[in-house]
Amino acid sequence: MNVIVASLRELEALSRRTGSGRGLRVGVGVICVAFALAPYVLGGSYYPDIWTDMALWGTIGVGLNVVIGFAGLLDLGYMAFYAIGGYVFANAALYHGFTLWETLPLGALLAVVASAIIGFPTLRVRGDYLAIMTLGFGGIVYYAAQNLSAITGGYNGLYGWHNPTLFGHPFIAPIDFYPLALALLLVAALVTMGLRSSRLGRAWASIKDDELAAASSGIGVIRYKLYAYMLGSVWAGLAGALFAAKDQLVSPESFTFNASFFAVAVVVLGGMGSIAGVVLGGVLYVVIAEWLSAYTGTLSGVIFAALLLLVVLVRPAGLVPYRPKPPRLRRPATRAAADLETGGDSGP
Amino acid sequence: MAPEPILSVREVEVQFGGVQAVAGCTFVVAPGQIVGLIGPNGAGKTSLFNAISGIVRHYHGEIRIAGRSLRGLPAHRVAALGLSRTFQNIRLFRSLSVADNVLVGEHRRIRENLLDSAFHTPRFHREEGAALSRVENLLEFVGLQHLDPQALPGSLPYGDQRRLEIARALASQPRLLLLDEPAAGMNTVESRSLGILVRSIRERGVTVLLVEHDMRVVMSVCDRVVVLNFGRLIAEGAPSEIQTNPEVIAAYLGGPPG
Amino acid sequence: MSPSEILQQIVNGLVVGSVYGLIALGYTMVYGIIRLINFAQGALYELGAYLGVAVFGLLGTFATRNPILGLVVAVICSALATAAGAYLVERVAYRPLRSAPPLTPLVSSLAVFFLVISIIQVVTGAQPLTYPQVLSPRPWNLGPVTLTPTEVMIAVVAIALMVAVNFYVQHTKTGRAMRAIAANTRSAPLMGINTTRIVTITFMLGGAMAAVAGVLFGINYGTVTYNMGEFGGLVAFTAAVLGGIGNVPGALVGGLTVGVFSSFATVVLPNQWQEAVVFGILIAVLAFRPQGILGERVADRA
Repeated sequence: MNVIVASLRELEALSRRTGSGRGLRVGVGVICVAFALAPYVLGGSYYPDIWTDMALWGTIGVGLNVVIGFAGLLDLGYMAFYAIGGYVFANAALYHGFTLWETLPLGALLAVVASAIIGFPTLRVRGDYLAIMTLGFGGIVYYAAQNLSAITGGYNGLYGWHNPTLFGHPFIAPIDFYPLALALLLVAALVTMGLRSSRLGRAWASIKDDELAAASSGIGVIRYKLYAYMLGSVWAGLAGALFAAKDQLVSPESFTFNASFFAVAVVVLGGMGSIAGVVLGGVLYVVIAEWLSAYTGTLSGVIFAALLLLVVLVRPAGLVPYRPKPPRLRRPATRAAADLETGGDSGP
Repeated sequence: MAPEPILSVREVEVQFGGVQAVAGCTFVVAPGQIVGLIGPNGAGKTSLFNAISGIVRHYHGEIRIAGRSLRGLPAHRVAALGLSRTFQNIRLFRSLSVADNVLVGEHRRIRENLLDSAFHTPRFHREEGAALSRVENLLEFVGLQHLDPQALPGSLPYGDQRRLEIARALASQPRLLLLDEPAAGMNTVESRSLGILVRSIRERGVTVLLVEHDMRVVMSVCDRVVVLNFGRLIAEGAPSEIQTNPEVIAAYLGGPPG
Repeated sequence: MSPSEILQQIVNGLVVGSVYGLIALGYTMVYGIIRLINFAQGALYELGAYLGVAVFGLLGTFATRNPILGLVVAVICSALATAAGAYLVERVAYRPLRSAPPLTPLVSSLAVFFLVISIIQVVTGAQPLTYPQVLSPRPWNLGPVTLTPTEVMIAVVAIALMVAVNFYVQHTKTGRAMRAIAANTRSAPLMGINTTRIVTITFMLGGAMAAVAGVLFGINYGTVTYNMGEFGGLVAFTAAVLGGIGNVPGALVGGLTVGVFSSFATVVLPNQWQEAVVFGILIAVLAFRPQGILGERVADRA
């Protein structure tokens, strides 16, 4: 399980600094395996939605993390791309007989195209205005979802298609989508982790720190912001399509400003830049929302907003702060002997 | 005239909210020279630097690098033409390590496509490895071999931060390097060794234009000096000529311009 | 549309717009001095509206017998309480983050916004609350246009308050200090200005104005809903940007402009798209004229 290896590595870097050692790492590994197996051990009927939702919200966190955590762009309309993935899937499934496998890439592609279109005018403005502009675009997509009934089904949304099977595995109950959602989360985590420690990731980090110095170092700031946007929204497009397939319904209510706010909260709460952190953020969000809605309905908004405020004030780097991997510079003494130690991200 | 100038500034005017920061400057920098740009505070040196490096894009007149006009080019395109700079108030990437700061300077030289970046392909490892050894050489060149490459720049002593910024600027292999007050805040020993560094930068084939208040550095390092006052060029010549130029002396003592 | 219909829509827009302008004051003043888009402003507007209802409830029959006096008491109490709320927001969620990276206070004000709105939602059970009828609902015919007494009162109160705030900023000692901080945050303390105190006053003033806007809104429409702060806050922010953020008279100009635009949208566009118009204006302004109509009073940060 690559995602486990990956989270382990992240925590390893953390524990190296904090001084706590192996115990922590093993603990986290056990938690990850437990997470992957839990729904099967507990039986699929135990909170049937929650497991897949956790994986999907983890993916949302991982995707938005590229935009906020890596490039430092506050996006308050991220769920627009989730909506696009969902509606693309629903349309393709309902009217054109496409299967989920054919639609997933299409949903991802259209989310990327939409992010490029939205990004083009917005990324020129400065950081706080960008946040507001993305909020505006998110709002427009929400109203479009409500009103373009021909392709969105209006308030009621779209539903009533047949989901495909894979090697005889049916996709009917929410839990059937769990392996798929988990695989998506895994790929998203691995790919973004790779990006973070690459030329692209450094360019993003430099923009986040100091745009002027980044530009003077030869980085086309707007272009790289656009890349962050596109490479962030692709995951929302994929997760949105899966979400629609799982629920057998897409409706505007899933893409309100509140949802985009929660996505931001997931990233900030978990730890901007940290993959393990934002996955934790996504899991936490689903747990809180699910748990509290059973008792009180609306209280989850209060709890989550209060939690976010608390974290911003007392632990601004998030629950699992991002610690960069040690650079792989060879020290003069060992230069001759040392081979290129790469940190060993095993590709997927 | 000798070879084509690496930098030519012609009748450049820069305005800031009604204030004329640079009021018609003309001078050239020949390849391989170290040119000092001096003048009292508020003379327009940094504004001129910002115009040359593409940070300020609204100016009158013409700036060329190796014959190419910079009109309308944003900073990163100017950088692509072979210009690099440091900043008066040191602008390192605070959340990036020492090594990563210099690696950002390597940005344009590293060849990685999206797949390389995402999946850490063999080419990724090759490119990053090569870039890292260049970074190491650069750190050694600027005299920072003792640094922990993992350290964050905020934790470094001031002089080391200046040198690290120079290493980052050199990483893009510029033809022309602009240094904005590199010796500011340094003691005599530090500024002398900085002077040695600037000379060795020139020996790598990089032309240097520097703004500096420390006259010892300017006089000992520069081949030529350009003097600005109130946005205008008031003198130009060898350091020894400048030192005795009455107009320059008047400008520094606060006399009337011109 | 006939000329009189057009005129009617303009007048309607000006009434609504004056309320938005009042909320926009808080955005623009806070942004002017500390460069923070204070998302909490929309929530304070909603809080003010709900506190107004609560005061009317407490006044009981006194308010039914003296509706205008009741309204005055409601406005003042709500404004004071909301100003206290704004003080709390500044103290808890902004002040500790003054030296944090710029996105952090933005996120924290977003969290406050959401927290306040969620609390109102929980407390009221997401049910809309009803404002009493204060003035006669019978419209006046003023030439080609008709207006209710309530609408006239709203526009008069809102515009008078905005003029008063502008006077305060331009001509009092505190106002001069605000402008000094806006012009140069770093050197203001050197001139003996207590930045912390001025920031606090600005937050509280913005909160009080938002609360008045909330009560006026409630009086005008009769009901308040738990999510009014979301849309209202966004419209008001659009107004602030449109007028030129940081620019106090700009809040009025921006508010009235947005009001008129959205008023025409109610006639021209199908129902569901009316709200989207505001988003469109917002994006267009930010993309093409981020300095707004009157221009920012904020020196551009190089």
